[in-house]
Amino acid sequence: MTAQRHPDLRVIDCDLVVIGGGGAGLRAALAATVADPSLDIVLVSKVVPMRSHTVAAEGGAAAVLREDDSFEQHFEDTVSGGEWLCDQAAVEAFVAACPRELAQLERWGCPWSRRDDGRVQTRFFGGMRVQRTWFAADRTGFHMLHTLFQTSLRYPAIRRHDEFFCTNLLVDEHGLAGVLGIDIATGHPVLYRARAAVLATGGAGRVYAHNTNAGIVTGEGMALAARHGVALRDMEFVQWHPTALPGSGILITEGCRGEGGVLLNAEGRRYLEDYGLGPLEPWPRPRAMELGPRDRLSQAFWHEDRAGRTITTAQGNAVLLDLRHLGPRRLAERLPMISEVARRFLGIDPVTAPIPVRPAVHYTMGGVATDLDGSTTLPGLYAAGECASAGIHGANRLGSNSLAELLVFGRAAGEAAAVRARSAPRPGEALAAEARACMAPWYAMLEAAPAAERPRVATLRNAMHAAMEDGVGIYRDAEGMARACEALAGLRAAYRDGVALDDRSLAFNTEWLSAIELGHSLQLAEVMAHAALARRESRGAHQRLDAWRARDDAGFLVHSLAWCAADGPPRIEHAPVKLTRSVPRERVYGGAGERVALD
Amino acid sequence: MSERPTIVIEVRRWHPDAEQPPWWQAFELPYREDQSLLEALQHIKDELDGSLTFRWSCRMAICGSCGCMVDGRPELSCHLLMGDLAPGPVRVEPLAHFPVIRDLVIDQQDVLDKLPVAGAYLVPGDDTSATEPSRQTPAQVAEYAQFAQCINCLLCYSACPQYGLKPDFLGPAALALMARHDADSRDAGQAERREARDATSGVWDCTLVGHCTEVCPQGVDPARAINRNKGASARDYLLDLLLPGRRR
Amino acid sequence: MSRPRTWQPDMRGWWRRDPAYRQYLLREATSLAIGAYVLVLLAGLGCLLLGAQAWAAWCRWVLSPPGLVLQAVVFAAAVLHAVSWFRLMPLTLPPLGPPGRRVADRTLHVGAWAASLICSAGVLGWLVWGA
Ligand SMILES: Cc1cc2nc3c(=O)[nH]c(=O)nc-3n(C[C@H](O)[C@H](O)[C@H](O)COP(=O)(O)OP(=O)(O)OC[C@H]3O[C@@H](n4cnc5c(N)ncnc54)[C@H](O)[C@@H]3O)c2cc1C
Ligand code: SF4
Ligand code: FES
Repeated sequence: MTAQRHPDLRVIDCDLVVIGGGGAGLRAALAATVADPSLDIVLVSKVVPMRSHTVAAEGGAAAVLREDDSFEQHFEDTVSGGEWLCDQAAVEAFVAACPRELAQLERWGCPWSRRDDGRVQTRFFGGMRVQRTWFAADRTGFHMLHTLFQTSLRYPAIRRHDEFFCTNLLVDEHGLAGVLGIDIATGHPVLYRARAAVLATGGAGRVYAHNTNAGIVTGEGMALAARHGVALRDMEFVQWHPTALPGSGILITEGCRGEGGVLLNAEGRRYLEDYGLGPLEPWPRPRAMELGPRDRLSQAFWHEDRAGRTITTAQGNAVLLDLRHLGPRRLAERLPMISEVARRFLGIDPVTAPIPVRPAVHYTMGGVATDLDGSTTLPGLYAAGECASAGIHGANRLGSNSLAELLVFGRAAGEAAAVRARSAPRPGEALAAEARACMAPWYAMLEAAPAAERPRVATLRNAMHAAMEDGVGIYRDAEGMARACEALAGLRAAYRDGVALDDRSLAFNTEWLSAIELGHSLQLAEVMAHAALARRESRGAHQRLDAWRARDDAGFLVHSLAWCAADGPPRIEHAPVKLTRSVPRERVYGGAGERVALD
Repeated sequence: MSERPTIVIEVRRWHPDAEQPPWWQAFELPYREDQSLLEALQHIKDELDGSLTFRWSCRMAICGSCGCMVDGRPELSCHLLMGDLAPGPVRVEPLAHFPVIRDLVIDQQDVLDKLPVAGAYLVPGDDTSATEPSRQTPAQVAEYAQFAQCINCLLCYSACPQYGLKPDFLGPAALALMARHDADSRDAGQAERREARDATSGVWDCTLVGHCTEVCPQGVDPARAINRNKGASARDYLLDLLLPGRRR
Repeated sequence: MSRPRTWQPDMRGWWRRDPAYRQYLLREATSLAIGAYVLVLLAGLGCLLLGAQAWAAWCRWVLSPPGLVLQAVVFAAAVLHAVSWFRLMPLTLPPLGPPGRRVADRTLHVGAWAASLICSAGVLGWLVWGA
């Protein structure tokens, strides 16, 4: 089936486009319409909003709630968790806004898990010293996303264009001027002319083979912005979640460990004790053992695996997450989805047997560099959520800070974009012609004659996965990263020569869309590899095995900024981190960490 | 690798450019017992026929994208294991009762449009500017928790012949979400939802086939949600009749 | 947005698609049998009014092979209806009992059967010994 002809462009005017219907995008759209009800807002998303990846988040969202907690402590945990690569002013603003935002979600109907007296319940999460994580059983992201989506139904000023695949941002002399893409069902091009856009397209975890992310998390939003000279910040920092299912990568939430689950190696030993996270008792001790931060836990797995102390499963080596001591009642009440996932996908009942788990890529700490209000260096373009780097995660994100981030910065970006949408002059008529020119290469992909020797999408994708797992993994060295850079450059060149598509029709052509995604993913993978190579130290999630095994505050207490040229490799620069009150010091967890915290 | 067993998957396909009704196409492929049907479909797309079209995203039964008819029953393809479907052949079709856009991709717009009609959102009762979370006991949460688990996968619509016969029917999931919000102690929207509930296309188009509840992958029990509301609808009707002016 | 071109499936033969649908139709069809029996009873009432002869004819018909077959069918339909209806009944009730300690479906189901068996036994007892 072939495309007859390049279909006509539809041009639609509006005030503000929100790209992405996940937690960040929906929160931004709601904030914008509440701030200015007269705005004509269009929310586009390549999937219906409630299918967005936020839906898969399990564990919870962080905000100071308990009497024994404080903004100061949330700040400290976040900044030390991010190994001082966080922008501290951003963290200060963030922790102060979290409680208000989670309460707002409660008012919109989010079914938070409750204490007997009706107050919101909180649980422990890795790297957090207090029970600070609000949760809705183990389906927190699902409930948050549906609450936001359902609330958005009350605001008809938010027009949705579901299953719209954004391919380009258009820019004129005043800054952002339009959002261009494909109506997936018909395959027709559509241009939304607007003066402001909020990018909320999520992370890029799918550049790796073994990941916890949904299929849509391919990262093209970041690449779209990068094409207009917006810097991508700290892209070398990729989080491995320590507990995912071998093979599928399906996540087993940190909430399991927050509830008291323990990790055992093949010898039945709680091996984290051997990695500076002990002592074992008293237990549970926050910021220790299984409640240590994710980078440390994933790195510990790597060492155990090297030492041959992991178990072998059909889908790769693993350690064991033991929940048996929690008992059937607590499992059913607090971790129902995890119990179901284990039963369904592994045939294991966590009541009676431990779950095999291993690390998998989980979260993109880096992203489009933004200010506190979500603004980027491109006037009119705002970014929020996992695609953005507002500066709160540093070198390692703490679990449950991300869902809170979607709300805090989604709202900030929505409000700022609402102001911008009114103030800038309307984009001109010339934009449509430019849009047509931008669409041409995408449609050319469909017209190209099928060439047998061209690689399939899956072939290039698998090669990208292999390059990233090999060279830019939990531990890295110069040789491996250089190898990845080279492999990715080769793959990008092969991609430019054309991919073989079986499907050259217009209607709901997912093969074509995944080919477009792949081009962006390859570019981001290359950025990650180059940024990693350029960071000659070890910090947080970026750990090297070569000459740069230690943290180097004198040389590398800096953000990396990647500037993308069209076809070539990115240019990497470094820029200072904004510190306010926390001075970098040794990052210690477990008993030693507690002593430091008490000083 | 080579000795991996194979299975036949027959897929019902359709394309708007093809001037013909849907047709069946069979694919034979290697499989593993612990592989999901979704992974098998992905294998077809990646290796055998890139034009096979279906939706998916989370691959863990939470995003609601991947519904299809498997051997005549509505299912999430990511939630079925090949081991349970072997030796096959497995017959995969688009979700019943919906217009087909292409292959396994159905047009879900109708149900999306029905969600606001059903008032599938919380209407905050008290002071909306409050910055503190309101209180709700675990027992109050339990009143609506089951109905709040809906992932909008639309399997229940494919199980409901009433929806197939009367497309105006709001249908199981929308009515379950109506009941979910009605039952929430924080909600003040019951009066707003009444009109949609009491209409024929509301609860009264339901004839209690009950199959929606059986196919729901999340245990939502839409049949209960709807039929409970029939009682409430009848009660309100009678009270309105007996006490004119009750309804402001 | 412009709506895509779609293929609209039809509902022909929908009851063949799933055994659950046939069970549902069977449950609904039981009402026809019950309806037929109501007509028979009404006819009996009419005959009673018309006089002893008519009444005796009606009694004869009721005990004739066609009459007995009809009653057997009606009885089977009634049992079927009870089985399927009691299974669904808990779905139709508002939540009973205080929040947090709602009456379980099983209790309602068993209760419904118990109540109907007691009533049936009562009527049967009254017919055999009482009248
Ligand atoms: C399994 C899992 C569990 C997690 N659990 C937790 C947790 O417990 N706590 C926590 O704090 N964080 C958690 N996280 C992280 C957190 O869920 C994510 O960071 C967050 O949900 C990202 O939200 P988002 O709104 O930025 O993007 P997403 O929810 O990924 O949404 C992206 C949106 O952008 C749209 N989009 C993307 N590209 C395009 C395009 N080209 N055109 C049009 N639309 C596009 C998509 O359709 C989608 O609507 C978890 C992550 C995973 C993977
Ligand atoms: S009620 Fe169940 S079957 Fe229906 S859409 Fe919701 S989750 Fe799916
Ligand atoms: S892929 Fe998300 S529900 Fe199956």
